[in-house]
Amino acid sequence: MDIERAAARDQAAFRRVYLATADRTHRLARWLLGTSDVDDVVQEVYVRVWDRLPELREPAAFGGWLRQVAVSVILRERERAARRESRDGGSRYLGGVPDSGASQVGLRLDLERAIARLPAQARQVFVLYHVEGRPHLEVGELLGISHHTSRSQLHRARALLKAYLKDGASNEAS
Amino acid sequence: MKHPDDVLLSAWLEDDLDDAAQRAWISDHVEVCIQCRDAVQELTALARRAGEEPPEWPGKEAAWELLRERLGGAQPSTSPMRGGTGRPKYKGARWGWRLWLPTGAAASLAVILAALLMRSPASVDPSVLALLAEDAVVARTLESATGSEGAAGSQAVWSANRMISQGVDDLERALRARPGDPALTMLLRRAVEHRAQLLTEMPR
Repeated sequence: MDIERAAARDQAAFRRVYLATADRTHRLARWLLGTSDVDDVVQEVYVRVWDRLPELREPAAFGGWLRQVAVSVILRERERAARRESRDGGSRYLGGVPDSGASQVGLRLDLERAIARLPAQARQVFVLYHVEGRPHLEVGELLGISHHTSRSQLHRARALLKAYLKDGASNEAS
Repeated sequence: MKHPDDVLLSAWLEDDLDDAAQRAWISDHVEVCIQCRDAVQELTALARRAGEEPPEWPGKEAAWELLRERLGGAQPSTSPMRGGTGRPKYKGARWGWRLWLPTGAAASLAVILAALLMRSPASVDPSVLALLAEDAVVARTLESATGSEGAAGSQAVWSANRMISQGVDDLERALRARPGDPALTMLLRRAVEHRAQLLTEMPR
């Protein structure tokens, strides 16, 4: 019901939609970008969603549609940031997930930190494949790499994550 | 005993190993090696944990206030395909809109471009040309996607989406140089609409 109301330009309904979905969108941006300004990108996602919501034919498909829009906006920002980085010679990429984004301790935080430590491409492949459920062909297309590279980066990511989590566990134990 | 490393185990899990002998060796090995079986379980658990519900984003209420300010001025895009009901009129086949995109969009962009060139050739940003060229590529991509379902269709649409996004970037840059230019504004609107169509119609 909120989706239809938001599509009819009801901001209160859109706020509820935003609050119900923002955690997931924020995590997606955090994991894909690993930047310090994830909040801005998330805002951009919802501006686009607001603008295009009237075009959504099936409100029931909103979840998948939102993620399509989010991935599109986030990866576009990734490309822009990469261009800025190569032009300016500097980097806003921290290669890490801000601690404030991970509100809970324990295994979840360990995984957040471990994912933040991954090399950018391996992290993006892991997130698109495992969190977004995209097939390798699509992951490759989205990231501008071959599906073979996507596969090898996924296995690298998983092996690294396993090692990072083991490191974290042994550090805490010592 | 020789053990496969985690990268190999991960590839074995996903059935990504081309070498049949290697696959058989790992399958046999995992049967008898507790250490590698544990490693397989850990690798499997990673995917499950990554898909769990995310933690709460503490800043989302504050971010809403900023977002609300932006929404205040935002207007829904005015798609030529949309009627007064707030729903698209194109209720036909999923890929029905591809019929108008290659022909209508390319033709109208060509007319606009010709008008721009006649008006002031020196002032035309090369990015507009780039968009026109890309639009033709988009049209061809969509044509090739005719009848494609699943990954192939999805891949074609994502490819088109990326090209249009590049065109939007170019046009936004051109508009910053010539704020309010009606032709550029119209082109930008069309490009954004194309992209919105792609995202809305994306195979799921």
